[in-house]
Amino acid sequence: MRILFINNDGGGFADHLDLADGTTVQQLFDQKVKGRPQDYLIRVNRQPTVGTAVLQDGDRVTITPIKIEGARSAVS
Amino acid sequence: MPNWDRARWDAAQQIVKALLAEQAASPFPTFPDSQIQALHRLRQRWHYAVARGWQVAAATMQNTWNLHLEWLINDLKARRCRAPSRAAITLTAAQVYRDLAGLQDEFEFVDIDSRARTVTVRTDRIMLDDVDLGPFAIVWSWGNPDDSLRVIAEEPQRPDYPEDLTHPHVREDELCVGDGQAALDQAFRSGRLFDAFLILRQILKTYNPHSAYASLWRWTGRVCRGCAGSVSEDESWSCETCGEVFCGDCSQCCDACGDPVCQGCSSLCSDCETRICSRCRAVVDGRRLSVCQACYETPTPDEEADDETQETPLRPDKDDASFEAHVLTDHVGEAALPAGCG
Repeated sequence: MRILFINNDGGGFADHLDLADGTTVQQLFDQKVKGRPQDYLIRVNRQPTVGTAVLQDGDRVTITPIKIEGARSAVS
Repeated sequence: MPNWDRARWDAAQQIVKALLAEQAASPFPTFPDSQIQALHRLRQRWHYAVARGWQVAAATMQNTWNLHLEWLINDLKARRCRAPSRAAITLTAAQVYRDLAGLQDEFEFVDIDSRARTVTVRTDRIMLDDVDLGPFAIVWSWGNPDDSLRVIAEEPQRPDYPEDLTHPHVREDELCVGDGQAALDQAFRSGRLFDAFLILRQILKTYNPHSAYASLWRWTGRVCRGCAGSVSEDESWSCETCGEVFCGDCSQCCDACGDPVCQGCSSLCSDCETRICSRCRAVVDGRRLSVCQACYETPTPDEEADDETQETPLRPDKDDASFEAHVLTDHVGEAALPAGCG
């Protein structure tokens, strides 16, 4: 199956991935993200999900860090 | 399509059109010339300082240069995201429509105004380290690339200084997105509005003390005058003499009257070395001595010996030189306090 995976950590990676049937959200997270799931907002098709949820063909999975540090803007 | 919303669909179409026009108008990002010039200027100042042996100034220049370089790197990364690249997501009105619908589930308030060309969401109350900054409205304007984003405090909580802040990372309704810049640019560019608003909300919910316009303690209103650290109301002390606020580590207690005092408003008794506030120093003829009232009233061994042979007058009539050694020059003319201080 093919899903769209978007990682909003860092540069904002977005690409299509081919996964084995039956892959869960937790398994995808473990493959693609270094960190703890509780540190991220995980959405499947823009809805909150659980780690045991089985992904479906065409799903859109988004991972967004809970903490994103803002900064003072550069003085130009 | 369930619960199809015509107005939302119209807005999605407008948004796609605006984003495609924006990309076509400026396929390549501009170069940050001013930031590079700033780095050159800092390097010249560093050479100038080194040549004159100004080590502190040179170190400051070097630190500032490193900071500016970091800003330049972040800015270049953000600009790279705006450059043409292979897009994994095709920008379509259907995708934008679903993102707008998704926002309704993520935020309690979402407003899509096709006439004003804006999408507005309202966050929950933003709490940073127990400081309540209230809810914020995030307003994104399509078709206005130069001023597309505003972050407006709905119940502005401002620090004493600077007064134009409503959040450690929001100044004049502008959010400095820091680490979120690249992902945010990518999300907006791809029309992933759902992701973009999530990123913005999470930035608002995060406090980065190392690069904020102002530290959070400026919102609490209590700053220790001794160490300049933040201090909660429960843990702060107000000096009874000067009235300034101090943390527990920087405040003292007068051993005579028990009042909290700061180091500047207290001193050690030159006889018994207990800490006393300025009001509890002995007063003679309107002048404060460096000894506490108790030590002043307690005769020294020599005086006790003298007492046995003659009636000795009290200290004001002592030898002038030894008396003056106990007189402090500050607070001259202050009235003596009642004996109750001791």
